[in-house]
Amino acid sequence: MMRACRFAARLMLLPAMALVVAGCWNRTEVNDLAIVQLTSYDWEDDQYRIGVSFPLVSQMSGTQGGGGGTGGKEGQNNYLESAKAPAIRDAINHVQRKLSRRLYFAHRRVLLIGETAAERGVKPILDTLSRYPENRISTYLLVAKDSALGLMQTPVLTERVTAEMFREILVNIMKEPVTARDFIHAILTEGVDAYTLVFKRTKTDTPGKEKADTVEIDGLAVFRDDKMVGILEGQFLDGTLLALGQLNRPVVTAVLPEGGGPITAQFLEMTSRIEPMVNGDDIRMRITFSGIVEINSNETDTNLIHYEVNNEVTKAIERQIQKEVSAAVGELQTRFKADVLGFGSSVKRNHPGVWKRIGDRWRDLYPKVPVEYRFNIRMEHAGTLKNPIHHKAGEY
Amino acid sequence: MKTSIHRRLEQNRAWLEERLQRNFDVVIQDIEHDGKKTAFLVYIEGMADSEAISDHVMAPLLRQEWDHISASQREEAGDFETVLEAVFSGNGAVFFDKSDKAMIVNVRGGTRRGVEEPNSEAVIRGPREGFIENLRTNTALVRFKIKSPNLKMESFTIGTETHTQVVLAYMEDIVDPGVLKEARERLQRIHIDGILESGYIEEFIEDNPYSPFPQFQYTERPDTAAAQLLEGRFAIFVDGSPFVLMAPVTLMELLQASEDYYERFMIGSMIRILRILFTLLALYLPAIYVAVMTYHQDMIPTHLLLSIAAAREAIPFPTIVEALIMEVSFEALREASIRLPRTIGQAVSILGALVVGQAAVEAGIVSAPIVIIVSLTGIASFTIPRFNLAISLRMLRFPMMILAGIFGLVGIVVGMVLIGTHLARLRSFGVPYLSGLGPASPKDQHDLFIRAPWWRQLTRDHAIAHRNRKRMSPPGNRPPGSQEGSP
Repeated sequence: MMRACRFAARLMLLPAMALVVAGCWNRTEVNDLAIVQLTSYDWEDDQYRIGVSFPLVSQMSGTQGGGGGTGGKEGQNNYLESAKAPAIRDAINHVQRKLSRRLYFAHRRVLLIGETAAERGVKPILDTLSRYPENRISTYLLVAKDSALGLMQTPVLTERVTAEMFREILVNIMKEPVTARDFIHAILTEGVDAYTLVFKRTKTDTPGKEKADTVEIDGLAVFRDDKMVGILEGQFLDGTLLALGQLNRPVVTAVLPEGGGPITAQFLEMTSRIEPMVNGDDIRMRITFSGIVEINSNETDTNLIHYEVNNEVTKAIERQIQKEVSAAVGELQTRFKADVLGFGSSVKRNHPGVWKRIGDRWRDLYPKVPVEYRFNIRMEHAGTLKNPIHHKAGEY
Repeated sequence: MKTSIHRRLEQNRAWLEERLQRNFDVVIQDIEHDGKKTAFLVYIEGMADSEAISDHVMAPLLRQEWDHISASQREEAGDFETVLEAVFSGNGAVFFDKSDKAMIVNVRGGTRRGVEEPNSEAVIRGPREGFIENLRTNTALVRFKIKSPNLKMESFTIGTETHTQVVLAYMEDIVDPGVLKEARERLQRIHIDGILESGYIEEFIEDNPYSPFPQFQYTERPDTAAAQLLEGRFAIFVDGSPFVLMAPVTLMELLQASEDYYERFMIGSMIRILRILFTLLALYLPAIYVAVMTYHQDMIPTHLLLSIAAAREAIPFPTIVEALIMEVSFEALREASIRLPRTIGQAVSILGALVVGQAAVEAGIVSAPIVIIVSLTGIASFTIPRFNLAISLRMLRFPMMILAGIFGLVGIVVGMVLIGTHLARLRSFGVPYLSGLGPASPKDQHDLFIRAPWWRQLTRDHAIAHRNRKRMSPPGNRPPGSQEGSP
């Protein structure tokens, strides 16, 4: 009996504790949170302009009730607010003062950094980001062409949340999109320079239809230390990502030496290895591409079933890759002098002794490092068609 | 204290009449011969089999062929107390003139429920017979399964008024003698006026009455009882109860259903793993939901959080209050539908599902996710095959939820540690409750999380049958495929 009484008394203590600790404890209901999905960092008038975007959950589709929400078009599911202050954290506080809900950053998907802010240096942004545990450094970090706030305001129609648009595009294209963690790591590692993708606002391109806003990849932002030094556009973007082995199932279009239409090939898997070849102080880099490829389209008159032809096609693909990559590497080496591919760190890892001698001079050596390419590409199959479809039977 | 039987018939009859007055169901039947009363018969109408009395007792008596009384068991009694006890157990008693002994004849009968399919433990594959209220039938049902003299059944009579017969059954060559001695002693220590259900016995003899966890297993199924006896456990049959108690019990044992052993081992193992998973859910799911939703929103995948946030947008209550309301109403709903007759029970569940479930969500009083959580928890608790374990976990869910509401995941961890240490300390007749897990025994793993095929279960549970572990010898039990000449 005594034991039972004592046990009951102890149980009674629990609700009593609740009274004591309530209030100073950090219990938060989800109704009191603004679940931030996207933030933007811009530099204007010598101040940071911080924008935050979070979904208005009550107006999200798939829920009943709610009533007044207009919803649907123009991306009104998202609430957007921004503020300006010399310090990033202050700006966030200014935003917070205008909100009834606590800004909650743990679910932020994407960080957008405006072009000017990126050129000025991203260290202050990364510092505030990594100091506070609620901020996840697994957030994807992107650079926005022109203003990040402007890009963030793009109404998206295909996703419920704007941030999702950026994230899905990234995940579709890259194997491992650049997160804030990767970015910080690149800045802090010797012999590597940071990079990330650049997004810009654009219009849909369907003649005869009203143009709608959307976003697209503009290029690759190249950094030296924490400052953006330029944007690699178009073909150079693909070349760099190929060299990094970051493209998700890349598609390569090649032309055979004897001419004819293009042959398009898609890699089922593709990896790249960057290794230094050191001979005294003579440093050369070798990029090896390995992968399995299948033919998506063949507009030539060639029957791809023959071994020799396969070989020709593979060779053409290799030439095409080498062309794209070497162009991109050339840009990186000479125009930006930024070691995005991590040549330096591969030397450091494989030949630490050499690196000790040349590490200090790497910035000067890097643009002159010769790069050679090796390929280990196998054509898995030429698609389900044997002959090009415009051939008549027996013609070959 | 005992009143011995008189040599004079009249005096015996007078004594009995006085003792049994105002008992309309007691029948005292005189046997007259040549106008002289030579004997009389006492029995209780309804408990004794009237056909047996007339054919096998009355007829020989009237013919004065005393030796021809052909009831199945005949005993002699020298005192009235023995006679009364026998008579109230449904026997008949014959008193003869000039004899100070009464003859007790077994004419037990009376109507009892027949052997039916057990309600509380239905199976798809397995025997359909269940224990009933009649002790003799129950012991026989087990004896049908174990036809061995090693199956011992000791009888006790407990209850100063009810004189309930209680039988302690065990396999003499398997059971741990220490456990058996303890069980016997604990049974003998019980002093109470009446035993109406096996639950009375359970509370008297369990190791830790303040533990929320059951330390006995009970079953309505003779096959389960037989299986437990063969594992080295003892069983307690109580007259008047269709439930047989079995001990020592372990936590993992309570998570096993008889069908695990009847279906093929892969299916049995899979279902068992599923059940263990859902047992954990039944205890922790609402608490984890509360903790995560109020303290650790960062742990939920973003899209899920947005969906839950959208559903919770207009809810007036904090998550913990919402969860408590729903859990309490679910428990009430369950309780209400158990007690009601089956036809009304359906109406209750419709009311519950419609009113509590749908209307409350539509009115925005509770959120849809919490209804999902509560339903899932309810389903999870129904997967536990033993009702007594299910109900104790259901009870423990509430302190867990309160802990989660106050301290978040830290509270859940504290609750887990408290429950864990309690379980580690708990014993059932000296056998650790977590046997198999802690103390971990590698030899018992073949029947713990998985149920190994029968030909691999060469030994019995080590914690219980440590005296006689060998279940079978390997040579005759070659695994399939290794047999020579197999097609």
